[in-house]
Amino acid sequence: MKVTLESSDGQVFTVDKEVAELSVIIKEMLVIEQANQDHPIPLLNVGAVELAKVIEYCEHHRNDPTIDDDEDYDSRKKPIEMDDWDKQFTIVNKEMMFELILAANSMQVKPLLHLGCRYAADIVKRMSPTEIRDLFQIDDDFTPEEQDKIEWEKQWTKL
Amino acid sequence: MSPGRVGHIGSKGTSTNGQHDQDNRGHLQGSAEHPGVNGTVVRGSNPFNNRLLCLAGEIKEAVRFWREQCLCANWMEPKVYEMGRIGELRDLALTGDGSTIEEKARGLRIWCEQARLVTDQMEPFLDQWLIKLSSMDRAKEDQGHGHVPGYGSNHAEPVSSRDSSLGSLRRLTDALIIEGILVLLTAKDLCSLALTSRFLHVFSRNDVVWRRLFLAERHRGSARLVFRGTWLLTYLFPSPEHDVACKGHPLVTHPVNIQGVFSEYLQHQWLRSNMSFNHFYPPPSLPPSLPPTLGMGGSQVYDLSIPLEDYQSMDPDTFYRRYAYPGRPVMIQNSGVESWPAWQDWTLDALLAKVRLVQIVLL
Repeated sequence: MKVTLESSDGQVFTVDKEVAELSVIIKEMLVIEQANQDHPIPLLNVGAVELAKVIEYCEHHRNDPTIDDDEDYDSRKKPIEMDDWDKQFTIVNKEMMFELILAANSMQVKPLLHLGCRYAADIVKRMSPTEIRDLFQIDDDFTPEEQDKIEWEKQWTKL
Repeated sequence: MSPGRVGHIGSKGTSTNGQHDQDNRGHLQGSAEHPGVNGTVVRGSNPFNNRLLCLAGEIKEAVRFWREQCLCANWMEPKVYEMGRIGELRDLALTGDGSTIEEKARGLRIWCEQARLVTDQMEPFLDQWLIKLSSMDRAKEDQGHGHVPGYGSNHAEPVSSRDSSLGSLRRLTDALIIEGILVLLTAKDLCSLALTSRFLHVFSRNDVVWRRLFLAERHRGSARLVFRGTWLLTYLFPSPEHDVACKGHPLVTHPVNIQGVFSEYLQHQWLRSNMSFNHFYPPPSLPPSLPPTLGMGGSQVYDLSIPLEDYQSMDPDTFYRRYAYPGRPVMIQNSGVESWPAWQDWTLDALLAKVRLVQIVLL
């Protein structure tokens, strides 16, 4: 069975139902709108480029067992299992990745959201403040007084 | 708290709101752009201004409370989200933008009207607050809430731009940055981030992040723990032998207070953990019909008779205030009661579906 999705800029995608159902939002919508299948499902927060990427991800992971989203405190320790395909998939620039995180968040594609956040966390790991600033084009907007006070973190980053 | 009722408030409040919201925004922005005569209005310079601030804070909390309830009860409607704009309106009305007290008052009145749309069921309480607030003096206000992270300022503080402070991370929401990304980092990475910019400083000091970190890294062997008020300090100084080190630590002796960082998410988080709910359900005074009487055997017993109410004279507000919040039993007579949501919700089957695994002890 096929489902049609419409991106915010009006592009229509047709995907298998079980692929679309990786998105919790769409899954719930399909339950509600069972009778009314002839309209595409509008995704107002997701552009066509991102939607295509999200669908690509869902197509690949269509047979994955669903992970129960328990707020597990130890989950931070477990590295996310990334197969080669995932690694290939995450080779995009970071702006694109942020857009994907947003799309995955608004469509509630949990594994992709986790993957994106993990990617973002990994790129700042073991970086100095200056490197992080360069990476994300962040302005150093501390006032001089604040600059003096934030000594504590400086000691830590030297460890 | 019955989801039915909350939903009712949410949907009722939002039915006309979208339009108002738009109108009033234009209005307020107009006043905000008005060139100021005496520059900024310093908080507390005028008792009236004080009262406005208090009032605004309380109503805002109320609105947020209902919004949260709406979310919780799955009665989310897109329009309910629009109530987030009330926050912006308030900020416009109250920051030191140079507009006069009269303009602020007008803005606040519009904003109160909006709050009422959501909280129209709470109007009696709203009036109580007004009375309470008008008798509130300055001294009492000053000892108020202390520093609210992410609350920004009502002073004329430098306001950081979120965009430049977060760089390309700005596309993400505050919640995603904190709950999605920062919780995956180590203490050292968090410290690095805290040194990059003001927004990231506030974000990476967030208590939720440090709580997660603490709980993930704690050693189960070390049994004696001291909670130091924040999870960051608890993470650094978990056990009693760190007492001295903790007292002399720069975080305690010279706390950094970053002003001008606005975040709806952080504000929300703060209110969730600090809000007193007593405001919203004033404890009902016991009716005078409950005097202690002498029962059989001379022991004191109370009047345990269950009041009988007529359906016609019972509106939801009375019901909730008199019986539901205090948890008192009541009998309701006359037909018409079948139209209440509880009539469907409180069947054995529905209850069984809801609380299948709960063990109920009959006394």
